[in-house]
Formats: sequence, structure tokens, C-alpha cells
Amino acid sequence: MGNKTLNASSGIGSHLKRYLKEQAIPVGVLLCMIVIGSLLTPKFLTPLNLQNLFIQQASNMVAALGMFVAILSGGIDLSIGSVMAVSSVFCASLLMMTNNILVAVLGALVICAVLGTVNGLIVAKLRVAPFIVTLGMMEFARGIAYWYTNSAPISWKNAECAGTFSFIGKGRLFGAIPTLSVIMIICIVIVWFIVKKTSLGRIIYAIGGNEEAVKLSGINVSKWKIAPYIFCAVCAGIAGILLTARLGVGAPTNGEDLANDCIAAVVVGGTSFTGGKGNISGVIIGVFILGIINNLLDLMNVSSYPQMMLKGTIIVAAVIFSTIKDKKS
Amino acid sequence: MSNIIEMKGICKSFGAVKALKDIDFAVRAGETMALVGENGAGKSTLMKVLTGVYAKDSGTILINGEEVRKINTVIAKNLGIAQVYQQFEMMDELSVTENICLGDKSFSKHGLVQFKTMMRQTQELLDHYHIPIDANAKVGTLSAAMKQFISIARVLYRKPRVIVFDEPTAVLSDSEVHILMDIIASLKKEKVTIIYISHRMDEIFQLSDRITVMRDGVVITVLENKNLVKDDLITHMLGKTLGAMYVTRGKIRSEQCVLEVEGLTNDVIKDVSFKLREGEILGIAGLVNSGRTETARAIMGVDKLKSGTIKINGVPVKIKNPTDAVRHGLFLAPEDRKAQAMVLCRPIRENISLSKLSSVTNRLGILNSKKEAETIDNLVRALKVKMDTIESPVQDLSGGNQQKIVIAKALTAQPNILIFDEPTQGIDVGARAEIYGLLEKLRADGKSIILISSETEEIQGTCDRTIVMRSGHVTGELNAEEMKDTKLMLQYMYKDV
Repeated sequence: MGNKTLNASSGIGSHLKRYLKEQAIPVGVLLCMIVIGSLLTPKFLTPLNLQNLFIQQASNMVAALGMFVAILSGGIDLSIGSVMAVSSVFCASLLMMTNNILVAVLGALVICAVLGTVNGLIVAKLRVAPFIVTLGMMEFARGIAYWYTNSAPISWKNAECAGTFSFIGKGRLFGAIPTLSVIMIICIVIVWFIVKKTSLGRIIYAIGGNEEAVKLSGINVSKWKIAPYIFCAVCAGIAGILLTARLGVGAPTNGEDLANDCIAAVVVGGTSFTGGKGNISGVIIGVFILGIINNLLDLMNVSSYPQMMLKGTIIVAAVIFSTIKDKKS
Repeated sequence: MSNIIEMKGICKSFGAVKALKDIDFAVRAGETMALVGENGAGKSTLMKVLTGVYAKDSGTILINGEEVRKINTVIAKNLGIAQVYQQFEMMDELSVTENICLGDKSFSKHGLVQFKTMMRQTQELLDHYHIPIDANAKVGTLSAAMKQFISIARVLYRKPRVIVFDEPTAVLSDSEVHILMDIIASLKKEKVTIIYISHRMDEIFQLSDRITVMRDGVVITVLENKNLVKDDLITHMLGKTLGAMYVTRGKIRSEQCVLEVEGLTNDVIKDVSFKLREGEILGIAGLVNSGRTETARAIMGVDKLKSGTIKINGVPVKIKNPTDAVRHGLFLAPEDRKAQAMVLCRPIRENISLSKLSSVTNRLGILNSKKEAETIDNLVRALKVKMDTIESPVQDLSGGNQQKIVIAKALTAQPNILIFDEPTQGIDVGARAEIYGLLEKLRADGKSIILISSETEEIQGTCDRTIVMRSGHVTGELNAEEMKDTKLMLQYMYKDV
């Protein structure tokens, strides 16, 4: 009995040790940012600001989770920004037409899932490079969003169910916890469960690591390879709905930088760009590293252009450190 | 005649595997030295030490009587030692001339390349050695054989004093072999020293002045090519009797055929037929590139078949991809462990259960982590895998232990028919013995096994029956009694088809 508990504790210890060894750079960068942030301005570590940070990052986080799965499988999805815009405008429009939140949300997600399936089928069955396929989808889906709206944002404020829907974007559970952050956490838990605890997740990791070996294990790779793209598009769809709920309109311009931000967050978080390696905590860290940069500089009234420059620098620096670390080990 | 190359006491190890053990090797200026031995005897490794691709662990190398302390590929090139590689990577989109002259800066004038002069000189070179290639042709349009000649021309272009040919005729047909023989004859006239590695006995007898025989990383003997008989040479190549590492063999369970293939044909293999009985270990012997791996891949549905039938337990089955094959109870442990058998960056646990995820998940595809860890812990313990924990990435393991993971993965799939392609390649003796033991245990459990191996001894020590392949054809089938006759086996392996 005593022996068993000893094993268990050393098990957790070694898990933590291995985790810190793998994720040392992202964890280190995040901690540095928090320390620097709290030193630079007292406004940073206040409950109000932290709540804002969570609210601002919720939709990016959900979209980044999808990107994480796509990159993990050895692919990439550049179309998530446009898919988010499609989800956003259809969600707003369906709200106005049907006055039914469930119909609006499910309708938007089904459309996104269809777009993701098209991506996945072309990548998996026709073996076209995911970069190219999703680049095409990026243009196509953005076109849908502009065409459908005549390039004007759709406001859902006058829908009968507007009050309930705005609770998603701006409400607080128990009067304190932002609804958006709760949804974000639920999404994180679901994605964690899928990648770590299901055969789908296991196969996605393995395909990213060595597709040939998976194929020879008797797994139908071309079937499973579709899943990450559907998954990624649905995540972008959810992100679009969250953004629409927060902003009050469904705009075809939504998500212009989303793909870039998500790729950056995933890579900064230590996920291998070639696939097969990475974990969800890295994605969370990556999203917050980028989010904190924006948040801090906003607090300090720095204009958005130097913000972009700093963001670019930190992305590349974090990945340089990881590369050096990988080479050493 | 003085020695142009003298290698003394060369040792080279890869991890625990000793590839070269205290090798003495000398070549006289202007002679043609053949280097022969079974696959894995250390011929290519020795040549890689000479050309500076591998650093030697110990020993001395003398070139023209002077010791060369440090050798790398650039130094070897400057000393005039060049090698024609088995498979030289070409730039298919460029012309023959550009491929041959690549890296030669003498044609550039003020940073511009003088294509016309370059082209003319290349054509002269090709014509001089009677190589029937147009210097202007795009390499991508040429056959594999012609590409082999381009890689030879690439070497000749630099006018080396010593040329190493490593299996230059592997991709050549008979008429093309003649062209190569002519090239070598002209080189001999030009007093170029040649080291020639080949499995083709006739070429060796025709070309060489002397023959160095290697086996298991040791030079067995150096023979003068006078009054030499083919059979004697073969005896020298093999020599050793069966080692003690093979376990006592069990019995075939029944005469019933579990797998029967007939007339399998695709681009590489031609009309391959054989039967596998229940509880049998069937060997597929042959040289590298004889179509053994391709036969396994065709059965597994990895490579498409043009014609042929596969019957499992007497019933014809359609196998379009590995998924079908696994469903029909087949499993392949592929030759290239790192590229095909494992996901190197993932843990041991995930690699093993990949072959049958349904055994550790419920109907919804949710993993039972506890059950998975227990099953795999027991399995790797039974196989005596040396590792940190089952959470360590597979890339951290040694070759032998990686092979055990591949076997564990194959066992997890619970197949009836297992195909092992070179399961002991690059593995030390101790781990080998364990793997042979495992094969026997599998047989005792009623599994039927196909063992593909380059080592005659391994086939003799483990298999009940073997087929021999050469150039994509089955050249012979030997029963347990006939297999003991190594010469007979080699005759089939070198049989012209």
C-alpha cells in the first residue's frame, strides 16, 4: 500500500518535471510578462483588468484551440478568420430572422462545419497541401461573408431575444464571473478531453508525428485526416458567435488577423509546427502571452503600431528560444 | 607495385554494434580490388571511413604511403578518392551537364556560367567513355540506369586516382552492364585504382585483380583472382556455422494454409507465389532490392497490385490498403523502423496501442487510460524493454528496444499472420537472441510468421522453410533440409533471371 502511494507521488512529480522540461520557455515567458506587467502599471493586476483580459481573449482562445488541433495533425488552417466572419454574419442574420438563439447558433455552426468538411476532404482525399487548400477557403469564405451582407455589419440588437443573447457576450454568472470566460473554459476542457482521452486525439497526434507509421498500423489515415479541419472550422464558428455576442453586430470584416494570431499563439505555446507534439496548456499560455502584450500596451496608451512590432518580436524570440532548447536536448 | 591505400587496424562502432573490427585493407596502385561479403559485413562502412563520410574510432589510414591523420569528405576528394554511390540524388529538372559539373566553379567568368564550354566538355567526357547519353538532356527524362551512369560520369569528371564503386550494377540490365565493364576497362588502362563492391560473382571474376572477403566486420581473406572457383569464394564469404543464439525450434501446427499468394505482380515484383502454413516461420531470403520488402508491401496493400490473388484461410480476399490487411489478421513490422514503424516523438504507450485502439477504448472512442497503462506495462515487461517509463518517447530507446516496441505493437494488433521485415537489422547480438526467442513464442501461440532477412544464417537458424528472391522473382523454395546447404541458397540468391 505504502509502496503504491510512493509510486503515485513520484509519478506526479515526474509528470510535472517532464512538463516543465518541455514547456519551460512558454511558461517562463508568461511569468516574465506578468511580472513586468505588474511592475509597469498598477492597473495590470487588478480584478477588473484580469476580467477584461479573459473577455477579450475568449474568442481568440476558442479559435486557437481549433488551430492547435490542425497544427497537431501536421496541417494548418488559414481560413479560420474568414470562417469566423461567416459564422458571425449568419449568426446575427439568423437571430434577426428567427428570433431563436438555438437556431442561430446551430445554423452558423453547421455552415462552418460544411466549410471545414470541404477543407478536410480536399486535404485528406485529394492530398492537396493544407496551406493551399485553406488559403483558397480563406478567400472563398470571406467572399461569402461580404456578399451575404453587402459588406455592411448586421446588428442583432433589435431581435426579440437580444437580451438573452447579449448575456453570452456581456453577462456575468452569479453577477461576477464573465459568461465568456466560462464558455472559454468549457471549450478548453472539451478540447483537452478530445485530444488526450479519445482515440480521435490519439490518432491526430500520431498522424502529425508520422503518417506512414499510422497507415501501416491499419488506421485509415485519409478518413481521420478530415476531422481536424471540421473541428478547426467549428471552433472558428464558436469564436465568431462569441465575438458577435460581445460586439452586438455580425461584421464581415471580423477575424482579419485571427489566423495569424492563432498560429502565433499555438507556436509560442510550444506546439511543433510540423505536428505530433504539443499540449493544450501551451495554447492557453500562448494566447495569454499575446493577449497580455495587447492589454499592457493598451493600459499604457501605446498606439497599436508599436504593439504590432513588439508582438512580432516576441513571437519570433519565443520560437528561437524553443528551437535552441530543442537542439541542445 | 606500391600500396596507394593502406588501412590498418580500423575500428568503427555504431552504439553497441561493432561494424568494423580491426580491419587491415590495402590496395595497390592501378589494381582493381573487389570487396565482397554478405549484407552487413561492413563493406560499405569501410568505404565510408575511407572517403571520410564516417570518422574511424581507431586505426591508421595511409594514402601513397603517407599517414592521413584527419579525413573528411573534402580531404578525401582532394586526395583523389571518389565514390560512386548506389543511389545518388540528382536534380531531375536540370540537364545532364549541369548535374555532372555541379559545384565546379571553373566555368564561371565574372559570375556568369559558360554553358557552351561546359556542355562541350561534358559531351567529350561521355563520348570518351562510350556512355550513350546526350549532355543536353534533362535528367528527369532518363531511366534509373542512365542516372547511374551520370553519377559515374560525375565522379570521372573530377579525374580521381581511386574510384570506389558500391554495387554499381544493381539497377543495370545486362547490356548496360557491358557499358560499365567497358568504362572500367578504360579506367584500368588509364591506371586508375578501383575498389569494386558487388554481389554479382561473374563481374567480380571478370574485373578484379584481387578479392577481399569480409564477414561480420572482419577481413576474412584476400584472394588472388587466379584459378579461383566461385564455390570457394562463397565458402569464404559465409564460413561460420550457426551460432548458439538461435533457440530450439518448435513445430508447425498444421499443414493448413493460412496465407496463399499467387502471381503477385506490380512494377517491382513479378509473379510471386507462395504458401504459408499455420504456425510456420517462412523465410524470404534474397539480396537487398530483390523485391522482398515490396512483396510484403504488396500483401499489406501499401503498394498496388497489377495482378495476383491473396487467399487467407483458403478464402480469396481483396486488400486495397493496410486497413483491409489488418482487418484480415495480417500485420507488418516494417524494415525502416524510424520512418515506417513508429511515431518517434510520441511515448512508448501511445505507439504500442496505436495498432489496436479499440482494445483500450469504449464504444464512444474514449480511452481507458488505466487499462491501457496496465496492459502495456505488462507487455513491455514481458518483452524486457529497457526504458525509463512507458511515457518516454520512443526516440529515446536503443535500436534493439525500439524493435521490441515494434513487436509489442504488432502483438497488440492480435494478428494471425505476422510479417517481419529485417527485424534484427542494426541490433546487437543479445537483443537478437531475445527477438528470435519471441518469434518462437509467437509460433507456439499459433501465429504464422513471414521473416524477411538479408542474413542467410538468420533464415537458417529460425525458419522452417524459405523462398529465395532475386530481381522481383521467386527463384527457389527450400525446405528445412535443403536450407542447411548454404551454397544452394546462395545459388538461388545470385541466380540470373
